[in-house]
This record gives sequence, C-alpha cells and structure tokens, in this order.
Amino acid sequence: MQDNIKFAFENTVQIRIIKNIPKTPDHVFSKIFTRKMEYLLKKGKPISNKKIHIKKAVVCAAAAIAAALLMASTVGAVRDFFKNFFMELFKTHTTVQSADYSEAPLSIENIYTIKVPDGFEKIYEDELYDWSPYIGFEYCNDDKYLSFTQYVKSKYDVNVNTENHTLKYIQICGSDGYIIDLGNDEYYISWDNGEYIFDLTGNVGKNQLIIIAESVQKAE
Amino acid sequence: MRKYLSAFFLALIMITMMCSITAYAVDAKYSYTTSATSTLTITSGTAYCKSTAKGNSTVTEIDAVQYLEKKSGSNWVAVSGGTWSGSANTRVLNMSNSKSNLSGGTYRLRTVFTVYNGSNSETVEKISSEVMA
Repeated sequence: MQDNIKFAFENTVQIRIIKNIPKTPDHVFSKIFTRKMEYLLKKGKPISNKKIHIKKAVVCAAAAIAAALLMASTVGAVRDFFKNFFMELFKTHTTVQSADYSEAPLSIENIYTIKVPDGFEKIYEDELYDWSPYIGFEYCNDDKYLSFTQYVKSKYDVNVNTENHTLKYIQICGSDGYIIDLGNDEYYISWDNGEYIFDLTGNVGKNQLIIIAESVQKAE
Repeated sequence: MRKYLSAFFLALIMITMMCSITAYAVDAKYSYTTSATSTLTITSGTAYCKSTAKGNSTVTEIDAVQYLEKKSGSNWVAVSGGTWSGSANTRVLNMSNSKSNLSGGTYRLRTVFTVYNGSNSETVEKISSEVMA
C-alpha cells in the first residue's frame, strides 16, 4: 500500500514539474559563433587560444619595433659636453669640437711650438695662410714620431679613434684636455688653452708625451 | 587573421631594414686611424679645402679623395672641378685645395680616407661643417 502511494505521488509530481517548465523557442546560435564552432570542429583546436597567439605575435612585433627604434637612436651617436669640448660618441670614433670659441682668435695669429726631445727632427710643417684652420708639424726619430697641431678653436672638428680606446680627462699646463691610449705606447692628447686647441700624438709613452705637451709655448 | 599576419610581416620587414641601416652606419673602422679632419673655409667666393688623416705607427699609406659638395634641396651634389685625390706613403696625409668663383649656396667638404696597414685597409669618412658662400 505504501509503495503504491509513493509511486502515485512521484508520477504526479513529475508530470506537474514538466508541465510547469515554460515553453521557450529553440535557441538559434549566432552566425559568428556557428562559424567559430565549425572552425573549432575542423581544426580540433580551441579558437580562443589561436586568437591569443596572433595577438601575442602582433604585440611582440610592436615591442620589437620599439626596441629596434630605441637601439637605433642609441647606436647613432651620444652627444655630450666634456669640459671645453663638445663630443659626439660613435661606436668606432668620437667627433670632438670646441664648445666655446666666442672669444678665441678666428685665425692663427700666434704660432705655438713644442720642445721636442733630442734626436727628433722636423720632417713636415704646414704652410700658414690667412684661411688656415690649423697648422701641423711632424717630427721623427727613427721609429718614434710626434705629430703636433694647433687649431683655430672655431675650426676644431676632429674624429678621434675611440674604437676599443677610452677617452680620459687630463690637464696640460692647467688647461682642460683629454688623452686617448691608442696602445703600443701611442697616445693622443688634445687640450684647450683658451686661445687655441692643440693636439699631440706620439709613440714615446704617456709620461714623455705629457712632458712634451706641457712644453708648448708661443714661438718667438 | 590576414590583417594580423600582414602586420607581423610588415614589422619583420621594418626590423630587417632598421638592422641593415644600423649595420651600414657603423661600417667604418678606426683600427689604424688616429684622427681625421675635413675643414672648409670660404672667403670671397673661394673655397679652401683642407683635410688631414693621421694613422698609428703601423700605417704604411694613406689615400684620400676630397669632394666639395653644394646643397641642392635635401641632397648634396659634387661641385664641378671640386674633386681632388691625394696619396702619401707615410702615416700622415695632408691635403689642401681650393676652388674659386663659387656661386651662392651652402657647401661642405667630404673627405674619404683609405688608410693602409700593409695589405689591410680601412675607409674613414669625415664631413666638414656646412659653410654659406
């Protein structure tokens, strides 16, 4: 008897529940969703993941472009002031100009000379003209050499070798300058005495070259 | 998806182009060259062109070509009769040349040095500041 009542109740409730479910129209998927589903079934891979990969690729490409632009601007040149000099640093060399020549002579009015060590002979001297931007002297003693140049400050525009070489600050007779160790006892020194800029190159060692640079004086 | 792929390949092309430009810009070497100058002075319609390259003690020869160039729009054009070459079998090369009767405009001196260390060589270019005539 109990079982029959239970069965009757269950049936009645089941029927009532089903009757109470509201009638809704069959769901129609959107065209985009259907297309995605078809693609998914074809490829057997989730569409959403594929989309993320492409997006990632585009983002990576954009980041690479930004990085390349940044690198290109960095590799190009670094401009900076170094004491009395204006410098542009490149990978292989540095372009150096005078940072202030407003009160300096516009031509070589006074010639400066250096005191070269015994045994050195002058083998070249530039001719001096009104327009001369600089005047150079070459000295030689067997395999040793000295190159001395006096520049009009406004015309000082030199590319110096800084490929694997470091440019360091130096004072010559109290004037600001820089020195480059070129290796094999060769050095390049340049300094600004306020009136002119000088440079001196030689393979006589650092100390000897500094002594020679400090011997600079106006020619009589 | 085509759009994404196009953007990706366009980005790749741009990166390749930029790498090429960068490589070209740093092509010059300073293995034996100590210093290089290229100076232009213009006085009364005459251009005075002076260039000097100095090599280290291993340098055996220096060759150079001076190009006097005039600005034409955004380009630089070689002035007729304004190209000179020189050579020296030493570690220093000095070159001085002049060109008279210049017309008005903006000029510069571009000097291309070839510095030799025995059978090896390197090319260094130095361009002067721009000067008005």
